[in-house]
Amino acid sequence: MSASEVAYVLYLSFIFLAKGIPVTLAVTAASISIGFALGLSMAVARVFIGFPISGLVEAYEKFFRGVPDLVIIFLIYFGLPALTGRPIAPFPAISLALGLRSAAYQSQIFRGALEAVTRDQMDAALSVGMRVHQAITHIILPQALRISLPGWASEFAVVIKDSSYAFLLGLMDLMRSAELLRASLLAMGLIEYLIIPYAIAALIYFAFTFPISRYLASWAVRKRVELGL
Amino acid sequence: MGGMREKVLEVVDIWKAYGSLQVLKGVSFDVRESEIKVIFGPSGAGKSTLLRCINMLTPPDRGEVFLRGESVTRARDVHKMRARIGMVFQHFNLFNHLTALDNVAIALRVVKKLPKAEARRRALEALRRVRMEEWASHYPAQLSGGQKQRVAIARAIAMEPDIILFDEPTSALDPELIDEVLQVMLDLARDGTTMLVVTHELDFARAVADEMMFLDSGVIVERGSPEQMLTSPKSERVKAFLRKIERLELRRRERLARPGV
Amino acid sequence: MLDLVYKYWLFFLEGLLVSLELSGIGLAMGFAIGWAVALAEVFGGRLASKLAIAYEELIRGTPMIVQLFAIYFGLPMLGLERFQAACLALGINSGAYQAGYFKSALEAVTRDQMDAALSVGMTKLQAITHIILPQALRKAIPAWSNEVAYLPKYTSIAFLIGVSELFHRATYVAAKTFRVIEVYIFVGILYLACITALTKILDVVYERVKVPD
Repeated sequence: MSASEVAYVLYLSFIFLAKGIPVTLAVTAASISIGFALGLSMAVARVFIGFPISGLVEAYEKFFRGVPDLVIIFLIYFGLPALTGRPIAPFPAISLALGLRSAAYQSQIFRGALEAVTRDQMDAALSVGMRVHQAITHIILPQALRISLPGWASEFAVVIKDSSYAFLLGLMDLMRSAELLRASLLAMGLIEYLIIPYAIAALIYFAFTFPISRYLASWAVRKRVELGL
Repeated sequence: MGGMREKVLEVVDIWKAYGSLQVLKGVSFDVRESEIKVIFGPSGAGKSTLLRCINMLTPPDRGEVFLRGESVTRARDVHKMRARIGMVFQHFNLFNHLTALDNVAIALRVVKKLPKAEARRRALEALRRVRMEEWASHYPAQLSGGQKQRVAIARAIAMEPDIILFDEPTSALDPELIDEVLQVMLDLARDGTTMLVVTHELDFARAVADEMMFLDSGVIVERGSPEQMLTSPKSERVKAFLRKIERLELRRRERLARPGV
Repeated sequence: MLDLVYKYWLFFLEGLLVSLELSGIGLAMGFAIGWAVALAEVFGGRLASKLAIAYEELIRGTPMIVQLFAIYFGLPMLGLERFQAACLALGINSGAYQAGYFKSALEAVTRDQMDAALSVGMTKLQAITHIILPQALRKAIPAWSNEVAYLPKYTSIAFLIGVSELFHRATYVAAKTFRVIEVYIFVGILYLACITALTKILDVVYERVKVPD
């Protein structure tokens, strides 16, 4: 347990774990995109169409917020093939599962933001002859998206953390790399070092989530204040 | 003045209720080419609602509105009619995320489908007319109330509408900012713009209005030329209202006259 | 689905009880940790508050799975059993989030009330004990009940280290009967019902207990 041994293990660990970062980022990107597209659509539908879409969206939100992530993931990875008769690859499965979950949260964020853009803006847009969909696209959404940035940044951090479930489906992400490293260390009998893969994995995750929740959020708030939104 | 000019706007028997409250009870009038008509009256009398019914932001319960003979109320593509009716709101309602220039240009691009360069050119021209061309790249948050309202007016005139509706354009402004907006409106009047203005600014009415209408409790109680309405109104309600306005005016002038207020 | 329910209802119920047990212990631990951290952040010295903030940020910024595995697989020298490890991980995790809610409540109350308390001659400690904490406790309830209501859902990760809670049993039944969709939907609804019930109960409690506005 000399200092150089520890340093060597740390160095190796980091190199090894770094290999898992691309997959983690890919899962995150795919999930948040699905969540964005679906969540924004649901929010717009809820605010501008109202009944009966509102009820459906609300039910969706309640379901995906109240059901554990693991249930959703297993439902999709194991359940969907049962329905369609075809197996589903791990990457699409996890992205879809996390995406659907994220959509429930993003839908809420966007709904709040859309409602914060007051009716007056819609009136003004209509008064110059825009149609409703033009008003939404050019006037309401640009403002709503800016308003939603801080909340959305938090959700982004959540999805990064959620991506750790990917290792369950066999994907070579950060978490799986950490597990593999631990297994190797265990096989080598280095019991005292078993914590290291996890500590480093945690730090790498933290390196992604911390800047986002700290700096992106406060930058977003500042931009809003500047625009007087 | 008079019957020779074409009717730009015809408002026929407009009724509107919110729940059990009857806000408009059969309002009718018309506005001809280059005419300026002023509607005034107590708050809550339905003046804003009337304007909103004209450009169908709020549909009336009964009655119809015609723009150069075409129905606005029953139009299939109401957005096309709205593009021909300009509106200036009490609280400006500028698009917060756009610069002054883009605020004016966006409708030209999106509604009139003009190419970007042409839209910018016309927008700049409109801003020039309201003397805001130097502020073209500023955001609404960086502008004063009077400046915002002038940009709002530019946004309306850039669309080259048949008529412009003004919903208490100066009511939300600090006293010292009112004049710059009124000045722009006077310029528009002198350029022959057809205008329907809801306002308490009686000096403005006296200067350019062709007719004034007093709206109270959803009905046009009295109408006539500014001279008739302001100096010798027939109805008691108009007299009482004018007295109240005069008192408010006096207080406002006192505040403006006091330095450092 | 109903025949499944009929056959395995006791099995699932036991699992649910384990999940609730995990939740309860995790919550209690989190409550204690949360208050300690929140008080350290708001009233502690520079070192204490910095440590507290670091704790909050680190736990909230890393995935729960990593924390769970770090405790169970990464620290075998602790000699923790599965259930204990799961409780600890849940407690530490929940503590960080609860700390956040308690901190907001403390800050909100302190702003208005600390000066008033000091001005009648109380010491800082007396002010905290008699004036700040009682109000902060109540003020924190809405946000805090969110955490409480949703905690059962997070206990499902205990399945990953082999704790026989509800989700673990769901995977067992699903594998055994091959009726994957029904099992997971049923279990999903169970969790949902649990959370909804907790939310309602807490709403009622809050109504009774809150400081009138």
